[in-house]
Amino acid sequence: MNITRSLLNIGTKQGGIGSVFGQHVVPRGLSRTTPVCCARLAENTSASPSSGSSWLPQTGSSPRLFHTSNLSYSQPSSELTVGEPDRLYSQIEVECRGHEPAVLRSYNTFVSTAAGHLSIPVEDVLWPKKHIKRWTLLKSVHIYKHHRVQYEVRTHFLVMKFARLTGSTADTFLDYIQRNLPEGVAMKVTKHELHKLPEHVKPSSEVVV
Amino acid sequence: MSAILYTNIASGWKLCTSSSFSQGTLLGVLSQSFHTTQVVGKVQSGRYKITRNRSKPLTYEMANQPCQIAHRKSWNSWNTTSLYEGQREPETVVEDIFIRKFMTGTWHNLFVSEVVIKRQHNTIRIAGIVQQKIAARKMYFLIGYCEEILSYWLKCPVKLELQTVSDKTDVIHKYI
Repeated sequence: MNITRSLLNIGTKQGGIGSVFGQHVVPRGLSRTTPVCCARLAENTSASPSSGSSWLPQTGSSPRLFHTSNLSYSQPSSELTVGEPDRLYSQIEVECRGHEPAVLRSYNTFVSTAAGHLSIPVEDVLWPKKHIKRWTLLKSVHIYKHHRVQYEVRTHFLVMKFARLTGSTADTFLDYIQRNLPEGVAMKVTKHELHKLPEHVKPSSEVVV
Repeated sequence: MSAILYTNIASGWKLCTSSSFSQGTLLGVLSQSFHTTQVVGKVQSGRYKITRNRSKPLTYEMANQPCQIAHRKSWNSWNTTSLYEGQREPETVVEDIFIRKFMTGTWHNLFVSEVVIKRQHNTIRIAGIVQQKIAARKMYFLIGYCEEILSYWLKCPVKLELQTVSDKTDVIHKYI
């Protein structure tokens, strides 16, 4: 009941992010999915790299043949047109912060399971040391300097590293992960992208191979 | 005479003896004097006094004191502002105060639980338990009105997730 309502809400409220699962289209705009939909996700993400490889031109510059018009209700972060090669990431690091370690542990099982279903290699899962902020205040409003109150705030960390992702897989996976991020948990994503060396960077003629 | 004070900083209770002021005699013989105690600064937030005939109803949340948070209770506001390098903490607190006043004011005497505010990305989800005192159509109107006006006010999507209870006594945990 709750899930269907939030499905409708996401559809209407957030500017019509529809789930467009076409053949040549990067899967964007997922509605709130359950693990049942993971299989569907897997099928689509496995479809896009393979169909992506068939688009890849022989040379870097080939004319854009046509532009698929059903691409965007929403603007994806990496807007792909036909003929443009997908981005490649050597590593994506996801750092989660929360007040409760149990919540982070359950989120870790969720993310690892999702990555397993999508065949994304989980390189590493780290649990850095918690950070405690403590401060001491006077207990009374007026005088009584010898009587104080102490407060502390604990932040727990969880770092997950995923290796060797394509741009479309990364976008889909991160989208799914972030939609199901629990309240009170913060996430920081670091992407390590692979680029070709620029044309003007050539090995020196003096280098002996 | 000096008063002896002992304080346990973590739990915050004081054991004190009284001091008596005397008006000038060094011997401390009965003269014009009055008794005072030191300030008994015991913690009394979130704690309810018992009644003689056990007539005061308490919900589960009221029955558990603030020291039971994270043990038997959880928070009413869920956000990332107080994490390490969390941002926008004071603005979020003020927004929460406003939302709570707005909700309890719009739903006149209808809330039987605390207003729970959860923030996920840029959406705010407001949850609570409401009595079924008004007709369902009026409830739907109030839900839409609250969501619309709060989203304009706070500049982000607001969703209400209310649960209803037919009888107010359903949420009462105990009487003290």
